[in-house]
Amino acid sequence: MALPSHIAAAPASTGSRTPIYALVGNPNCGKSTLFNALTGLKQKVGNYPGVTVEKKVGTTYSQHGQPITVIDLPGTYSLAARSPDEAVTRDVLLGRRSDTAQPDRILCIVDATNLERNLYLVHQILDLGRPVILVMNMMDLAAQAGLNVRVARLEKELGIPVIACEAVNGKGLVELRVAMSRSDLPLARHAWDVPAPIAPAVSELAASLVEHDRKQPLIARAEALLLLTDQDSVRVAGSTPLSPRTTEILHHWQKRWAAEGTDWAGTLVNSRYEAIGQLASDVVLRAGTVGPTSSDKIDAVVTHPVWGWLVLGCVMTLLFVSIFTLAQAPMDWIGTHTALLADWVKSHMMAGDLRDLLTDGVIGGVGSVVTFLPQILILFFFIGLLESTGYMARAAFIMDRLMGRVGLNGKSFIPLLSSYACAIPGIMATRTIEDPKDRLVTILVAPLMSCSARLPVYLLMIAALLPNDRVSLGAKVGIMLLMYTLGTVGAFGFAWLFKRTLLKGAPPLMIMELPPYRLPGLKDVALQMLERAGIFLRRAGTVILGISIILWFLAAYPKAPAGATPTQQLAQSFAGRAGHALEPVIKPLGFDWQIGIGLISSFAAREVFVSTMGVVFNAESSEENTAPLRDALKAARWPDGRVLFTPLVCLSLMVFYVFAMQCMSTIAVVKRETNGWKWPVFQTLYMTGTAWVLSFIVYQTGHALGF
Amino acid sequence: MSPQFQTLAALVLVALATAWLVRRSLAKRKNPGCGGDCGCASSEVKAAAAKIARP
Repeated sequence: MALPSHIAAAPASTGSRTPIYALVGNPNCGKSTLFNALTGLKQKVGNYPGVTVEKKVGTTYSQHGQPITVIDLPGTYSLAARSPDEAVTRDVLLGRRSDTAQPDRILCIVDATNLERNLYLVHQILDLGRPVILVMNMMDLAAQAGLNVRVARLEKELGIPVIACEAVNGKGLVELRVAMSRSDLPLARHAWDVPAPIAPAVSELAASLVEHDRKQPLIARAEALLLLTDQDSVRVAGSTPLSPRTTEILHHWQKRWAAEGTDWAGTLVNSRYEAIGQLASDVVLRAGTVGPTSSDKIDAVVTHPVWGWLVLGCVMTLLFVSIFTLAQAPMDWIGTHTALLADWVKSHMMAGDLRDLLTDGVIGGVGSVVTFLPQILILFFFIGLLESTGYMARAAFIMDRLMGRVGLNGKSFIPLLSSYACAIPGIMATRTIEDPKDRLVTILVAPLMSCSARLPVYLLMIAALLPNDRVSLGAKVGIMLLMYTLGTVGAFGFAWLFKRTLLKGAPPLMIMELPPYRLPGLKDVALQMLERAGIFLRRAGTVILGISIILWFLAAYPKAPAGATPTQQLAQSFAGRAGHALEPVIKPLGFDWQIGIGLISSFAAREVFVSTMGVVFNAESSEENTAPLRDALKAARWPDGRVLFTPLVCLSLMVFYVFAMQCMSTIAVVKRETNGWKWPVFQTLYMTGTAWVLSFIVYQTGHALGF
Repeated sequence: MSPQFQTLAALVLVALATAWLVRRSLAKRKNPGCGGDCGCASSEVKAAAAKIARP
């Protein structure tokens, strides 16, 4: 096969420098799994498109032990970027970014079950004139679907190494490493060339890119093709702008084609699709008519408009039942041993400030948060399991119908789903959303999804609200589901409101890919669970420890006169005074000044509320034996002897935490993502204002009804 | 351990905790984000990214 006219000499060798491979591919083709397998860096591996938002870099080794750098670029269907993360992929490959060296070689991964669709990106990448290795992933699933993918034929047609692979099972990795170790990777020789009527425009633009934008000839040609078929409307920070002369030439050709009334850009795209169609029909053989796969059969139920919701409800119920039942024994163990440790310190130290700091501040504060570790682990085990099997994408599909009705983009589901774990990665994941207004709406509502930091608050309140011996497990699960539903409904409600008032925009379109079901990768799930445990314990051992120590000081100083009761001491302390100052605002919600201390301190992070309650109520306790926090809350009273934590107050407090913006880290990330203070301030005000109003309604209505 | 010494030791710990939290908060202002707390890019990834930054 003759080489196309634009293919020239191979690019210069990297010499002794570590070669840089860019890993590119369509979303959901197994790119993150392959990256993990090659580099060993542990990331979140999901089944739904768009999980890779940030550029990720790792090191792998050649068969001779030489290091190779791999950049994991965000998934994209084509180099015509439609969102900021796709723009990053395009810019790195075209050498437009000043902060990242252009990759020497490209590792292009494709889904063998959807080869024709994946080949569009491959086709554009081959134009770059860089050495490319094609990784044909999911070969097992292609075989199950009755597809015979002729790897050798594709290798012959394209002239580049094509490696059959099953990244999830580690198959084909040895062959891939061998290919990556080659110093003489051949350049692609795909037969497609630019249609003749368009060639002058491509040549003129490419020449200008070489002369005025200092691009290499091959890159210049690829970029010229891209500019002529794409409006190049998505530009991100760090992307080098086009020179005025190149822009002028581009506009000249666009105007000329518009005046002629011919869609040459469309012709260019169609020409590619024709070549790809021909190539795919040569390479992929179908074994007769294939009936519905097992994935299709399962999807008929789990994506059904009625049964789908039922399945989702069952899955969520199972998750919360597990959180309450499986975690009980380890939680009791941690709680008992925390109390024993505090008692041991009390019995081995003289009374004094250091002893109080250790027992009430450090052990009481940190211990009360660490108690919830088993439940956090179970939550993330289930989330990992659902992602790993492919069910999460189905949940996104079901939710999309609802999201479309409130005007949210389907791509908002992934950021909102991530926000159940933590709003920060959720907000960062909004970079996949093309429309700036849709992105902003998603950022504004993402912290309403109940994150894992709220879980300890809910669990503590449910424990105080519903004693084990008097209510069923179903009631506890029901309340927990209610809180998660309330947050989700609140997010959708505010999205609907914002899309019709502040951020009006056209209804979004959504194209979504449902990956085939897979057996869960238990190793990945376990690693993700351990990573989350590490994050939780690190926070408990650093930020929460630090805040607990300061809170102890604020609750213990200034000292009351000798003979004062612990309650009198707390009331006249710095923390007590702050709580008293806040009390007039929160009393209509059923909260007293002690809860007010918790509300103030938990602006740092929501789970600090639990450690604050631990510090406040341990400091009030004069007994030598430390009581579990749940019992301390039940014993708390108003000055007139009324019970403080009534079921209605617990419910009001949970509703407050569903809506309140109690997380400084989230505010900082929103400020960064929106480039200013306007939106984080607005978000804090609307969320905390809503929290107050709804808690007020819950408490006052319940009070009026006699609860 | 006398009560006076305990008070002094406790106040030193409070001062250290305050200084650490202030320092952490200022460092975050320079490089905002979750600092790895919530599963963002780990320090290994950041270090590797810095290595390939164009000179």
